[in-house]
Amino acid sequence: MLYAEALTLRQGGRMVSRDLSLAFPRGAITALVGPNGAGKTTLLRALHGEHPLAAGRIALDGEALNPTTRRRWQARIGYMPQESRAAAGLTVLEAVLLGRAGTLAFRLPEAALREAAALLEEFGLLDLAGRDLTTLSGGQRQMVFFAQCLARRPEVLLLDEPVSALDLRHQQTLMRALRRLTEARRLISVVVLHDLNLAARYADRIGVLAEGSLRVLGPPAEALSAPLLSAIYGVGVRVLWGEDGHPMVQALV
Amino acid sequence: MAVLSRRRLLAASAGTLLAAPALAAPLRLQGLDGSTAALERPAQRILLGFYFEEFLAVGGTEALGRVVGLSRAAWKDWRPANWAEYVKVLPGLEAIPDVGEVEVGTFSVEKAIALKPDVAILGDWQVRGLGTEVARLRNAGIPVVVIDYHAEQPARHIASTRLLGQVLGEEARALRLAEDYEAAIAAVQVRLAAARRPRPRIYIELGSKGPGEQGPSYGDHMWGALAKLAGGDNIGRGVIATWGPIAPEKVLASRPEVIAIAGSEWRQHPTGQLMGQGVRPEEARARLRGFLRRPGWQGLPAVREGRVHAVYQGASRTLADFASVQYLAKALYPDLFEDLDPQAEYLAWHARWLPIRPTGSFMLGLG
Amino acid sequence: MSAAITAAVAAHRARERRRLAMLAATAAVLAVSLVLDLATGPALLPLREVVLALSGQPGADETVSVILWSLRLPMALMALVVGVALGVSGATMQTLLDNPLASPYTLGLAAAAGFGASLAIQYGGWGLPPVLAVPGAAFLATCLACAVILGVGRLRGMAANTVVLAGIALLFLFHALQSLMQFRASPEVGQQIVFWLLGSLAKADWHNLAITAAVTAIALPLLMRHCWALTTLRLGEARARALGVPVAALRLGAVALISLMTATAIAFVGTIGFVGLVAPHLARLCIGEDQRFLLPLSGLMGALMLSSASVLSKVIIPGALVPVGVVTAVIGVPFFLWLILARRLPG
Repeated sequence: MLYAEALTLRQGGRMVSRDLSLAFPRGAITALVGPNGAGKTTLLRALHGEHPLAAGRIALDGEALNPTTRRRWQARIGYMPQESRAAAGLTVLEAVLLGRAGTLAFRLPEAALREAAALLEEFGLLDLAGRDLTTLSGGQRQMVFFAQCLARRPEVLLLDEPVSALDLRHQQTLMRALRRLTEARRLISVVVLHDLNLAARYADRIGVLAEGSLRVLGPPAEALSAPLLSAIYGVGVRVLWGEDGHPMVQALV
Repeated sequence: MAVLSRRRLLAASAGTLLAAPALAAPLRLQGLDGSTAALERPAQRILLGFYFEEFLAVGGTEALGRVVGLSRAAWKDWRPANWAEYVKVLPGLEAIPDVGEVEVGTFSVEKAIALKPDVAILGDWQVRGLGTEVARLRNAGIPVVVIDYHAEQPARHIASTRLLGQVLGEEARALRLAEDYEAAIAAVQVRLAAARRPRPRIYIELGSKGPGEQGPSYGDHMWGALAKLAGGDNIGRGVIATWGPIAPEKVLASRPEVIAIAGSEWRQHPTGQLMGQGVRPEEARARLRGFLRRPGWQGLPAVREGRVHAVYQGASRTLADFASVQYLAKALYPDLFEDLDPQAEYLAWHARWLPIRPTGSFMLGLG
Repeated sequence: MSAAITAAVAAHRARERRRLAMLAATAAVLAVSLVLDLATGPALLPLREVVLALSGQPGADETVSVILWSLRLPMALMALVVGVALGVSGATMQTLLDNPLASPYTLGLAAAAGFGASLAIQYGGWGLPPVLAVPGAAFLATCLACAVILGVGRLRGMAANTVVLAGIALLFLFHALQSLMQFRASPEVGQQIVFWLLGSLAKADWHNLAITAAVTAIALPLLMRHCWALTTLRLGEARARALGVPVAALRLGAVALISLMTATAIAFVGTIGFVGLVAPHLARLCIGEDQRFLLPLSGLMGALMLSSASVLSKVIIPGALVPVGVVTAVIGVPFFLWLILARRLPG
């Protein structure tokens, strides 16, 4: 279990989040949603150990995060930032390998190569292994970076808006893969999403953040309530029930 | 061929001199920069960096046959007509390999070594310009003898001349040249000392850039030192270290009583001061008048009293510069040195010691 | 293990082998350049003599041996060592600072060295022999510049742009100071300063070659230790941080190391520009962004550039020696422009 207790986060002198407490269980996807500036990315970075805590503590299976344990902490986490830069001159396989950059010896061990290739195969990208990263589509690139994340064999996945720039098909592909892997490997997955319906479909629990505080944390049916969403987004909202049993959020115009 | 000195080349820590059936005892020479050079006997293969006419005066024209390399630009480019005159008389001059010139950075140590000289004769100014490169010549087994006429100190002129004499094996001739020089300078100094006059202020400029741009003036060096020997108060003294331009307003503020513009045979420059071999007096005077048109110069004492002169750059930093000293003394104290004819003395010196008969303008006034 | 995985792995290994071959090929061309460098020079020695003297056979002319062993060989080897130092420094800087224009020159390190050398030349080495004073002052000035850049950078958490801008600011400052020195200097001193600024291999001897080679030989493996971290940086700072790369610490350490290496090299040969900028781009075109290969190839390309520039500087005007810094710029610039236009260099 990943715990965050009474977190207070500051950015540039401004208070971003106050007194946040959340728990993220294993084998489940927790989606973080909310308006821009709600502090979702900052929270994610704090969970990664990158953003200093003004107050509160974070612990994974009882082991607390502090400056001395940071390196070990970060080795257990796969963090996927929003940015999607690709450098020409790197192949897809090399990009995945870099997930384990900290542990690689000078000569690439056969095992590392095979593992990276296996990850690509799992995502159906193996035939792209030798291609230059910049020749891939946005959706394919995100999948590669996702694979890179997983190459670290993390216990925790922190994904910051992994599908915002992707088309419909690739959104589904990535989220399905995330679901599959979270369950199969009993990962703790925390995903920041803008698309409420995507969150409703794939997340086990949704945490709604607004202005730095947690409004609700629970299963989609519970968390996505029309009055709450209207209040925090400032626009009229209607929640419907889809045929597959997931709630669907619609903005009222 | 001095084969014996070659054996020291490969060892970085120079070994001892091998005993050799030398025809003369090894010479230990003290250069004008304080360095010492050891020669085994009067040299047969000489690399000559500068002071070409002094070399020929001391060694005679046969000495040219011993020169295996020289810094050609320092002669041909700086005194082109003078070079041409020498080539007419000594055609072998053109064939002597060029090792490059220090001031423009083309001096090649590699070329110098490849010519296998027994000794390199370099001017102090060249050694300063070369910096650490000189050590390479020495490490390659080539002794470097440093001489200096630029400082315009009679003692250094004499020491340099005698060094040349030792290197060339013409000590007697060198001694005569040195003594003549000393005597000529002393004659001027004696008259000045007896007269006890206040020193007139003098401004000397190398007019290579023409009236439009400020050419270098001198501190206690070159023309500045010559002016001092001639009894003048050089306005560049204390302002300039060796040579370099003075600000135009400083010239005006110092109100020089005598002005001398040095020139050479630079025909490619349209307004620079022309002087030297093949230069007619009217040409030289015309160029000199150009300088008078500088802003503020009409008001200077020197210009108002017509005490503006042109001198030859080639007649400085040379054994023949005693004539320049005489000329400047005459310009500064016309009544004291009425009996002197410096230009005639200059030509007579050439007739006695060198193979060319210069014709042209070497020192004149607007008068 | 599926056949497809084996194929992908094999393809990668093949890629690695190709890159190794690229390194070997460059090294071979470099060897040719080295030989040419030894065979050419102002003394216009015949090739037969050169070969005899190199092989140490008894029939060799002693003067030729001197020229070869104490003049040409140190110069040719210095071209290699300095080229490697500048190439690797440029590549590392471009990666670390995420800027294709970063190089020891553009960050003001070379200009600082030039200023230090000018000071030493002007003030006669403050009593020390010039052979110590000039390189020493150049070295110290570069270290000072490095300290300023890193100091300013640290105030902003070693952000890439801050470091680059600080470097450029120093470039302008030291250029201006250099010009001031030249302006105030007497003509002989001014000449020496100018020739130092143009860059020249002519001052190379076995001593300063040994020092430069030693410093480079120590710094290179220290940099190569971080080649995976550097490769990761190519994916962007955020992603690299996410993957556990200590970006700020890496920048601090690597820039300091690079400054040391380039300061030593420039201290002895003067400002030779452009090699540190262009060699990494050349290498990147050939070999990609895997820093295990890019760093060594940048070094080899740098050495090749400088070595061939040295050869050209001797043959352009037979019997004369064009300063090598002039050749690298005059040949390097059109070549670089051609690269940009023809091959669409990655930005």
